[in-house]
Amino acid sequence: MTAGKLRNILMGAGAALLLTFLFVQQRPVDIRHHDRFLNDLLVMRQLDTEINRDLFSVRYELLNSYDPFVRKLEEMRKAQVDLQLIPLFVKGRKREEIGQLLKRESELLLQKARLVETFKSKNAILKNSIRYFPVLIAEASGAADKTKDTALRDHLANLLRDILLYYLTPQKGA
Amino acid sequence: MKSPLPAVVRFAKNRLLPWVLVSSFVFGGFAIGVVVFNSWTSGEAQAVEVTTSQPKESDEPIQPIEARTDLDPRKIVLGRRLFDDPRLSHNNQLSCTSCHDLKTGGTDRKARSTGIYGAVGVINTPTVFNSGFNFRQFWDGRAETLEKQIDGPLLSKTEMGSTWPEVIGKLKSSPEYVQGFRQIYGDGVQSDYVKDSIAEFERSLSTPNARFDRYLRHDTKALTSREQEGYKLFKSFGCASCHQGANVGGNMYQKLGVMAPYFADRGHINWADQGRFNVTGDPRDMYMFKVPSLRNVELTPPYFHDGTAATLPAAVRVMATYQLGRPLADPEVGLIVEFLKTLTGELNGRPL
Repeated sequence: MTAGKLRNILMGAGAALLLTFLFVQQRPVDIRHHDRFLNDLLVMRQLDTEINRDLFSVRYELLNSYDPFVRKLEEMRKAQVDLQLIPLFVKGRKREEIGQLLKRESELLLQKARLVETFKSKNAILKNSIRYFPVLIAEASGAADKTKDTALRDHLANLLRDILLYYLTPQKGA
Repeated sequence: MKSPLPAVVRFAKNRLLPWVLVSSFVFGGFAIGVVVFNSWTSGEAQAVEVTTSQPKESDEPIQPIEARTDLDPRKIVLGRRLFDDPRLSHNNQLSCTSCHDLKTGGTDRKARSTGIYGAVGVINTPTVFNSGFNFRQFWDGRAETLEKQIDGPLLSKTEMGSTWPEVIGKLKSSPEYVQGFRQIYGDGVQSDYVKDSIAEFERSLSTPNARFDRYLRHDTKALTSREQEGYKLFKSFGCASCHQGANVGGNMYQKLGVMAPYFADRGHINWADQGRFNVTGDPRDMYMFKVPSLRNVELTPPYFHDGTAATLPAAVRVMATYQLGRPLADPEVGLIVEFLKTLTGELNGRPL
């Protein structure tokens, strides 16, 4: 191989490397950070949906423990901390916009966590009350029977029916 | 006339061929670069998948507890040593163990603990067992993690009365500690490392393998028929509405006195009785407390944040009156207590 050919080959290889380097550099998005950020967003969305589903499941006793709420809210908090690391390729006004959105998201998560806590506390009381209510009505009906107060007994039966119906279908006018 | 062919061939050989070669290298290299780059990025793209933990939930409100297997044994050893070390208190007389004695259910079995210079605490000491499973720490849930919880007793003027510079100074005077921290953390003694190792030790204090856990794993002989009946009552009366999950509590707040005015009946309301209100300032949080875990409950009298119930039957009766709003007959209380005693587990493979 002559010196001229070798020079040409080296020039070609150098040009190929330069072109590849420029191609990579001109890509505006760092794909790793993009994917990490996107993954966190998807995690947040999925967990949010799961928590909403779990709320219904608990409401209708398809789920009997609050542990999933604790675990999922914790995972959301972790994803949110990770989201604070906005990819560096996002700059200027867009970066500020994302920062604002994340701040809002953080407030909403805090609000949601508080509401979930309130739900857990109140739902527990509701469950206890609904379980005890028929027992209480039976006791009261027994007392009404003893005094032969049929009007009170009927009223108690209607009340029990209405309450249980409302519990099953808590819509207006149900 | 001379044929131009030899000149064309000569040109092709001397000039065109090198340029074809150079062009091939340029575009070949570029193509390879693009392919490599694309395959790398598509690999990254494949990594985009939503992964959240979704353990299977059983139909029972209580799930078996598991021993933690993801903990650092070196930190546990160091944390255990710190947990027992009275130098964490200002007067070198009190350690974490003083109130959280592992021999007495992780508590001191006093209504109010005795702190530094004989100061009496404002609230009953909760057990340290299974505290790693609690969603928050302290009765009012003011600490989100075990690490953050450590500041509470250590800095309290009526508990250990220390400051971090004081504690760090004492620990640095011990070559064993200096070496221990350096081996684990690659650094000197720091408050964050002290918290981390104590918290790791506390996370190791899970008590699996209670008879009830075995029952949940379908060993129906693990519980007597009376204990099984007690569990049924525990669920049907609504105790399990709050005391549920793997820790049989510890995952929600509830107001003490839902169905009847507990504090008005008890009297002498103090600051600690306000519960979570002291943290949030929200009137709706008045008298709200973290629902305590019932695991090992037979070992941790007296009960409630104020330590007013000396025995388990007394505690069950108070709960029935103020939380469920229904009276329980003595046989029902007895059955529930029998069930509660099946929640006593094992620590490091030994029954508590």
